[in-house]
Amino acid sequence: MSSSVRDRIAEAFERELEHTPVPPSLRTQAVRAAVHDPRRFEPQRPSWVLGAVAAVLTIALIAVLVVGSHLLRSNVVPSVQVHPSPSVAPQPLPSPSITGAYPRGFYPGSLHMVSPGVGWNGVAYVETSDAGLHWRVISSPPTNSDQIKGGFTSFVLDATHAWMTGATTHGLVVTRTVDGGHTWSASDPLPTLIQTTVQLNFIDAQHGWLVVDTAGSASPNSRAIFATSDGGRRWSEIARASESDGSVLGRLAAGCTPSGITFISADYGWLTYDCNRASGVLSPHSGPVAAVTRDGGRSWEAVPLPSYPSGSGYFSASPPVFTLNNGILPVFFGGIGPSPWTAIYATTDAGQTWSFRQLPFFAPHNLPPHFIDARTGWAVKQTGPIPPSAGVDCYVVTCAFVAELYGTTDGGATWKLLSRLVPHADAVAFFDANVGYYAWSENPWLDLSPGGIMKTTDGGRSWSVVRPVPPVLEGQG
Amino acid sequence: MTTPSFNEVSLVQAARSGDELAFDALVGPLIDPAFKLAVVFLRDPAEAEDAVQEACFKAWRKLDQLQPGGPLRPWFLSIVANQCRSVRRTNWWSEIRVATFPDRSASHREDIESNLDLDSELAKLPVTDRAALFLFFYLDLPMNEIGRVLKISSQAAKSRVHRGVVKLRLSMTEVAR
Repeated sequence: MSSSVRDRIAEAFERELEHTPVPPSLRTQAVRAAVHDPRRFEPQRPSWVLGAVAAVLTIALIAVLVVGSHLLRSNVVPSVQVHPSPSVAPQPLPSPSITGAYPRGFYPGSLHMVSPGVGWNGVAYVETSDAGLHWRVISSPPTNSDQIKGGFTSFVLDATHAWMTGATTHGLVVTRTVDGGHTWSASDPLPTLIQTTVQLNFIDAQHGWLVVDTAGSASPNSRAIFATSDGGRRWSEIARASESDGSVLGRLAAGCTPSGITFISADYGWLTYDCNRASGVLSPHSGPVAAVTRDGGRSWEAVPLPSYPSGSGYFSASPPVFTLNNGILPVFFGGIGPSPWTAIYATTDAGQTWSFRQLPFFAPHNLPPHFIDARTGWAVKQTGPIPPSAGVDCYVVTCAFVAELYGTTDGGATWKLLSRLVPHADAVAFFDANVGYYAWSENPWLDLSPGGIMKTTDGGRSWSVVRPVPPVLEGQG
Repeated sequence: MTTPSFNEVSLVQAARSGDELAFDALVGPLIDPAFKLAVVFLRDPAEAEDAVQEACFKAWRKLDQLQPGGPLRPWFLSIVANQCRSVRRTNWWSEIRVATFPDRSASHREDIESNLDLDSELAKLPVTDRAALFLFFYLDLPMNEIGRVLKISSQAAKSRVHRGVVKLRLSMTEVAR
């Protein structure tokens, strides 16, 4: 086949697709919607069930046709009583009582504990009364009848206050609870377009911020910032910018994926973005982008970060953690192919200047270094897969993944091995310097563990199993 | 069999555990070709966008079915193609959409005229042939991957690509006459 034919056909497709560009927000929107789609809680039906249902319906249709034709032939018209069809009300999400095992879609790794017995799993409060053995979904927010895809995010402040956003046909709606998820109420719709990514943050029960990035193929990327001072009942727009107006806020990380919004006080806050040119995002940048506000979100200033080892993979930046002038911004570089690394940007002057510290080991980006303040943090190094014997294919047999937990008390300058744990980790979350949880999900492909949670009260040196599985291999004091 | 790197194993593991970033790292780079494939199938950007979103959700739920060591790209694109076929089945009664080409500047008119025949002949091809040509010529997928995406054998994929090329050549010759 001649190369000219190849080129001409490829160019023909190029011309056809030239007028239907990939929506800039499609990647973020599609991935986020997939991960947070409430249908993920629904059980999957095997294909044979669908086949059986189709067969039954076919037989029923044939039967109706046969009977109908018989009735027509005999000129008998049966009386038919017509009932008005009931209006279809939005069904709330199921609230199963979980016994013995986690339900499908309930990932311990997505669990954020807000008190010893209450957690937030991204869409609902869950509670346990027996130290984690059994879990119950307290209640899920009601579904708006005019809800549409997109615009989802959530933020949990404590065991009683949480917020969720969702797109509706009238705009973005913020749903809030002030009683631990027992009741929910919705804000008035915010005037935003529906193709959005949304970031949400509260510093207390009253003061919160919402950053809405809108990217549409028909209009330039735009960004709006809303604030509330009454717990989310009313939101006012405090800043709006578009990529084409030349403003700092409009040009900031245009087309990139937001990775977090973090307010430290009512005036002082940070926005972070992941810009991955290698993944096809239309961005002039590649790498993490950080910006700071010192007037409550009305104006923003891009913050130059020190250079980092370059590569062709992708980046992710965790939301920064600040205590007074000290701040930590964990970043990750990875991808399929190049050597990944984990690093920390650190500041001691409220973000005026930053230093770059690469960790001595690789922490996977699904488990970024976890800091409770700008000095105290933990990170997990995962090794594996380790086959049970040499030459055995880990795709054929079950191989082990060993996680090593490291801790730092000097902002990531030095790291100390604290403990070595068998199950692959999904989440490490500490309340303070001593009390923390280590969660992992069921993953029969990798290690056959049923998933579970461990707890430490000595900063990660030793762990007690909350769920009855044998995870602790070795502890180091 | 293609052996994925440890990174890929870790990402699949993390994604199956519920990690959004890992899922984004796996599937995100495929959104662009997936959307274009959906446009080729459906010829409607809005429907293509919906199809990719739905395919993403199905991929997320089907991560458990991703064969260890199996290549990710044909796996995901086959979900997209399936979704597009499903949409087409749903819309079987609707009118056939034909891509519209906006007016262009006079300086490009000669190029347009020379390419117009090919564009229109390509638009007339059955969608299965168009998809095979797109996967082969535009995305540069090997035949075995095209077969996986379209749920046919590698040999059938090869035949479909050749059939499409022959149809285009014949059509172009006929137009030239």
